[in-house]
Amino acid sequence: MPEQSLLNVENVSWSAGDKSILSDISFHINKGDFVGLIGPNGAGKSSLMRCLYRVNRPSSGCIHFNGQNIWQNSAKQNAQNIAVILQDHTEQLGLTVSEVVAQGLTPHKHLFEWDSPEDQQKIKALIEQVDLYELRDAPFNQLSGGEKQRVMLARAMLQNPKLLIMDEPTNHLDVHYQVEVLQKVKKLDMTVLASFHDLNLAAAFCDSILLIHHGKLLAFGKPEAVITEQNLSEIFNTKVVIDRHPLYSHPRITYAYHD
Amino acid sequence: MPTMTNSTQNRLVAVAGLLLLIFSPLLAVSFGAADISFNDVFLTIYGYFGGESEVNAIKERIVLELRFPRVILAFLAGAGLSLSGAVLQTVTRNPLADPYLFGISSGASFGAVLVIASVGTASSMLSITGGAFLGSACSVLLVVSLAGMGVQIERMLLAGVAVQFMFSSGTSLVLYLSDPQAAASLLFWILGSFTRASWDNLLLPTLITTVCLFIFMAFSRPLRAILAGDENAKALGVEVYRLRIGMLLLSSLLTATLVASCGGIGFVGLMVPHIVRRLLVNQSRYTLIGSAIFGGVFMIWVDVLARMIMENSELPVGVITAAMGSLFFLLVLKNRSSAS
Repeated sequence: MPEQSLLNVENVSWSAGDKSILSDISFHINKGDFVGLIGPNGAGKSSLMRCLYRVNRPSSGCIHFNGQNIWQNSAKQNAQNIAVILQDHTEQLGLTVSEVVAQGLTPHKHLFEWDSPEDQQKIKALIEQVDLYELRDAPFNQLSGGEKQRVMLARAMLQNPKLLIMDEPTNHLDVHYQVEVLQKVKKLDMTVLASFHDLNLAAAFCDSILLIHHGKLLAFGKPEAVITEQNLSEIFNTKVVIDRHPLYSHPRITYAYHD
Repeated sequence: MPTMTNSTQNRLVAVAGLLLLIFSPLLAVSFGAADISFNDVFLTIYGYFGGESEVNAIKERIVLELRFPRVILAFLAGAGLSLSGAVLQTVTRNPLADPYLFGISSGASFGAVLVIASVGTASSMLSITGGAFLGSACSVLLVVSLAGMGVQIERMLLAGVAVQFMFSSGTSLVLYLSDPQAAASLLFWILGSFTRASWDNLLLPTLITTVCLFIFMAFSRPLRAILAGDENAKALGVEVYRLRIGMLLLSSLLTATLVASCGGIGFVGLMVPHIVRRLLVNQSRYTLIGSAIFGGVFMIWVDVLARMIMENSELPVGVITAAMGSLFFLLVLKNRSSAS
């Protein structure tokens, strides 16, 4: 019931200029859920997530976090609740790994407030946790894509949010790192909303899945209920076969193509 | 540096900065056309604070009324322009940003020249500064509206260059229309010089530089978050656009104040923050204060050079900084292109 849910999205629509991108989307996320967001390119996955971390302001509908309208909170208050890991990274003007991780403290500090010794400890511990201790003083822009992603994870953990949003966290990563990043996140026991390109990863890691297409929410539920041959074949315009993963119980997607 | 741990390096830089900050002004005061020794400087200060000293009265006046205000103005200019550069580089995520390259300085020059040319050389410091601020604010708003709030390094640089040309041509027009004598003094001032320094003229630059340093440091954490990109910064709880426009306007106020007192001195704001960032590992929270200190000290010595390089005459400091800065600019550009 929306009363207890952590994030509650009600009839949200958003358009870029005249072009309607999202229309009438409603769903809710409960505490502790790991929710996947899937849909073809241009379906509106990133736009929907941007609405949740206040980059896009919905043209209608509303979004409540813990019962509070996110647009009535300050940007800072929202950032204390919601952390975001994006796909693209800037050069960070020469900041080191530790300094980028330390950005996670931004919403928790007053003007003039500096990092305390405890903060420094926490930063060190988190960098260790994502296996980057050797690289802690290295410039962020010299890291590989997978390493950058882990820095972002450490930063998000330092931000200590109640909800973690990830925009295609596995993009550009080798299979090994894809699984590793997701397992690390899964272990945090945090409420997560992540968009996925790889449907098999979504099926393996998510408790429930949002399927959107042309800016509309088509299905929301357990992976086996959403990831069906009929849903996917239609939306992704490719014939798919779905059976069980040979080792685990979640659905496995196979694309039916040959030369 | 592989042979030194980062914390040792940071400590060394801090100590060096502090020593330079204390001794540069005292040493710099003893350089110049009149023969004044370090000892004379020391005795003059000692005498000023009530001690017994037998420095001759002329030397004492030169030290107290000419050289000290000049050295302090040089320090303020270096510190303020470096701060302004550091903040511009941060809010635009553009390592090549600088008040001069952004057209802020030329906007300020145009505003100030317009005031001086219309009111005359008797115009008060405040009105010159006011004119300079209007000019610089116009150029910031022009650059931002040409380049957009999204940050694209190339577009911003080009917009800055265009705005710079626009205001420079305005300044040239005013120069052309004013009488030769006024034009000569205006020109010297446009090229950057500390000759007009006096205790009375120091109040405004000191006040504005200090206040800006204070505000910039207050916002140092959200400023660092902007380095992660606008969307990231928003997700970290920063009101990006509001902060950016506020900081741009403050930087232009700071630049305008300094341009009003000592003309257009370029490239200091580009060089100093770069070097400070290199020197301090993992200490980006000290970039601002470090830029202020090293920028100030740097300018003190550039001014000494400007006074000493030619006998019986002095070079405009802006000529020296531009010569050094343009080389530095090319170097940075070359490193960037070979890195990518």
